[in-house]
Amino acid sequence: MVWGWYISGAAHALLIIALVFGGVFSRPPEEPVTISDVEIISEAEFAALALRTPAPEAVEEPSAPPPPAPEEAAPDTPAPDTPLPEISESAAPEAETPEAAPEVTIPDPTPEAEVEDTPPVVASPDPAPEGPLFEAPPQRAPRVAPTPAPAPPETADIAPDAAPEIAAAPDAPPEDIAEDTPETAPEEAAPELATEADEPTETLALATSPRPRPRPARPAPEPEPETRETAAAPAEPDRPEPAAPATDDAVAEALAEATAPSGDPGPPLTGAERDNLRIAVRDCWNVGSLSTAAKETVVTVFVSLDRDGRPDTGSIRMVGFREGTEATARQAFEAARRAIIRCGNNGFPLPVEKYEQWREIEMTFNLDGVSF
Amino acid sequence: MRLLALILAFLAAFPALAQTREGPLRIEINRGVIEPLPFAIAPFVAENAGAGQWAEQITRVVAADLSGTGLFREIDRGAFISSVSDFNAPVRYADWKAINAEALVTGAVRVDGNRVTVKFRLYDVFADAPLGDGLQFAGDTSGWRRMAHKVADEVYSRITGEGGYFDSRVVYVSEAGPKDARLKRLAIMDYDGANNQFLTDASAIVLAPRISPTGDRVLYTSYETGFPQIFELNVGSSARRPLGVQGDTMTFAPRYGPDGRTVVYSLTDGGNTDIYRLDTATGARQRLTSAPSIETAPSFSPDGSQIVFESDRSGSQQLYIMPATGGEARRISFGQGRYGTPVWSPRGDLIAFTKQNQGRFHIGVMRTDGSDERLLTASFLDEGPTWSPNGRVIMFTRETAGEGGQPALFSVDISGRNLRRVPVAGAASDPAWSPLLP
Repeated sequence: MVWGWYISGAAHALLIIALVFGGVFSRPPEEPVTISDVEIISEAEFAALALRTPAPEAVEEPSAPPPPAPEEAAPDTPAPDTPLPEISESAAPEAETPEAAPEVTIPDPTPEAEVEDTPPVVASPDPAPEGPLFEAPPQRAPRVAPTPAPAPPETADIAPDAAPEIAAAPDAPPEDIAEDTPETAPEEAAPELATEADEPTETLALATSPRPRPRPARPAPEPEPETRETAAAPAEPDRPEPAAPATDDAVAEALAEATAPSGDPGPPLTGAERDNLRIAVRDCWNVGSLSTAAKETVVTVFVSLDRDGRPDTGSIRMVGFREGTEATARQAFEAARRAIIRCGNNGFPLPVEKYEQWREIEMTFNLDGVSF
Repeated sequence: MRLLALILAFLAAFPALAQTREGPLRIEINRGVIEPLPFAIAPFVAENAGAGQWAEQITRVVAADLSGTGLFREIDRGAFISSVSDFNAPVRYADWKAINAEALVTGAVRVDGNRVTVKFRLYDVFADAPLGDGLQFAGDTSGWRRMAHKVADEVYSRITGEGGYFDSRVVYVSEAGPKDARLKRLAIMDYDGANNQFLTDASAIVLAPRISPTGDRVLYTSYETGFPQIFELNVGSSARRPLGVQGDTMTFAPRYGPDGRTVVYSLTDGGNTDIYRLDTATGARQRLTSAPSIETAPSFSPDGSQIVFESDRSGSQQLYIMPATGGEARRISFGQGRYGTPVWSPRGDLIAFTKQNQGRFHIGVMRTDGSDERLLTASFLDEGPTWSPNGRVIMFTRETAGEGGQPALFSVDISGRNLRRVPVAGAASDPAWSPLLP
C-alpha cells in the first residue's frame, strides 16, 4: 500500500515537472497574421465599380455556332437571281381580273360615341341580389349588373344561425368553431368517396382519443428496493390508474361539447346526395363553346343557395383558378356560372333538412381528359 | 402528467377542429356537356327608312356565322317572347331566359347615302348583364358582309375567349371538266363562299395557292411553262412574277414565312428534291436540306424559327421539324401510314397534316412534338389542310371516288366535330385560308 503511494507521488511529480519545464502544452509560435485593409466605400461607388467591371461570361462568350450543313451547300446553288420583272398584265386572265380583293371598306373598329357602353337598366322583374356578402373579384367587375341590388337574404340568415349555436355552447372556445363544425369535416376527410359510415367516426374520435386507457393491461413492475431503477424507469407505474382516464374523458367531453353543433344541422350529405348535385350541375355545364385553353383551365366557383336550393346569383364568384390565364379563367368561370344559374333555376336536388351542409358551396370545374 | 395529458388531448382534438372550420361544401365537377350554346339574335333595328334591307341581311349573316361554327345554336325567332324595337331599350332578361337563350345579340343599322353603320350589343342572359361593351362599325354599303362578319367575330371572341375567323378570305383552285382534262384556275372568296372571284384563267394548270400573311399576295404553282414553277400574284393588281427560277428545275410547294418576305419551297434538280428558302425582296436563296431523299411541303412555325416538312428519308413519308435556317431535322410522326402536307397552326400548338393509311385518307392534328395525334376525318381522299386565322378550324379538300368524283372544300373543328362542306359553286380544291382581314 505504501509503495503505491510512493509510485503515485513520483508519477505526479514527474508530470508536474514535465508540464512546467517540458513545454508539452506550450503553444507553438504564432505565425504572423496578415490583415488586409478594409476600405469603406459608399453604395454609389460600389455601383460604379460594378458597372465598370466586365462580366466574365461576356469575355468567355463562345463564338457563334457554326452554320448548319445546308448553308455550306449554298455555293452550289446559283447566284441569287435578281428580282425578275413582273409579267405584264397582258399575260393575266382576260375577263376574270378581279376587283380589288378587299373591296370592302374597312369599317371603323373603334366604338363610336353613339353607342353607349353603359348597359341599359335591367328590366328583369327579379333583380339579382348582388353580393355585399362576398367581395366580387376584379375580373367580375364588368359582369356585375349595373343597377345596385338589394342585399341578399343570406346575410340575415347567417347571423341568426350563428347566434344560437354560441349560446347553446357556453364552454365552447371560439364561436366559429362551433358554427362551422358540421359543414366541412366530412369534406376535408374525403370529398369524393367518403361514405356516410366513414364520416361519423371522425367526429367521435375525440371521445376515444385518450391514450392511457389501454395501458392497465400492462403488468405492473414489482416494487424494488433499489432507488436507481425507479429513477431510470418512467413514473407511470406509480401513477394512479383511474386518474388519467378521468381527466382525459373530461377534456374529451368538454371538447366534444364545444365542437358539437347546438342547432343540429343534421348529418352530412351522403355520397348519393352529392352525386345528385354534381349531375345537376354538369348537365348544364356546356363546354362546347369554350376555347381549348379555357377548357383546360380549372376554376373554383363559390355560390350560396337558399333553402330551396336556388343559387343566389349575386353570390357567384370565382374563388380561384389554375392551369390557365386570367382570360381563359374568365371564360371558364362564365360557363360555370351559366351552368349554376341555369340548372339551379328550379332548385338543386338537395335535402332541406341538411341545409346547413350545403348553404354555401365551392364547386371546382375541372375537365379531365380534354386533349386539345 | 395531468397537464401533459390535458395538452395531448387538446392537440389530438385540434386537427378535428381545424377540419371543421372550413366553410363551404366542396364538390368537383369533372364532366360537362358539349353542345352548341343557344343564342338569340334579335332582328337588327333599322334606324332609318333605307336601312331595313341591310338590317335583315346583316342579321342573317351574323347568325349564319355563329351557327356555322357548330359552337352556337340560334333560337328560332318564333320562340321569342320579347322583341327588340329600340336598340337602347332595356333588355327583359326573364323573357330570354324563358326560352333558354344563354346569349342575346341585339343590333341596329343605319344607312346614310352609301354609308352603312352597324352597331351591336351582346348580353349574357343568365348573368343579367351585357357581355362587353357595345361596338359600332361603319363603311360602304358594298362592304355590309364584312361588317356583319366583324360583328360575328366580336361575338364569337367574347363568348369563346379566342379570336374569330369570319372576316377572312380563302384562295383555292376552282376546277371544271372531266378528271382527265381538268381545267384549274385560282379563285378567291369569303370564308363562307360568298364574293367568289377568279384570279387566273384556265390556260394553265395551277396548284397549291398560299396566301401571304398580309392577304394581298398569293403564291402558287403553275404549269404554264410545261413544268411546275412558282409564281407570286398580287391580289389587287393581278400582276404576277415567277419566283425561285433556276434553269430547268421544278419548283413547287411554296409557302410564306410569317414576315411575308421569306418563302420556302421545294426544288427538284437531278431527281433530288430539297427545300430552299428565298428572300423575295433580295432574291437571296439558301438551301435548307441536302439529303438524297425527297423533302417537300415546308411550313413555318408562327414565330418563324422552325420549319415542319415531309420527307421519305426514313423509307416512308414522315414529318420532320428543322430550324428555319436549316440543320438537323427531328422526326415527329411515328404512326402507321404516310404523313404529308404538314401545316403549322397559327397558334403554334398544333400541326395539321394529311395521313394515308390502309387505303384511307385522313386530316389530322398533332402537337409539335408529335404527341397527341388525332385524326379528324376519314374518306376516300382528304388532303391539303389549311388553318383558320384563330387556329380552331381546318379547311381541306375532299374528293369523292369514281369517274365522276369531284373535289370539294370541307371544314372541320379541331375537335373533330362540325364537319361541313364549304358552299362553293363547282369543284374546288387546295384551299388557303387568309389571316383575319384588318
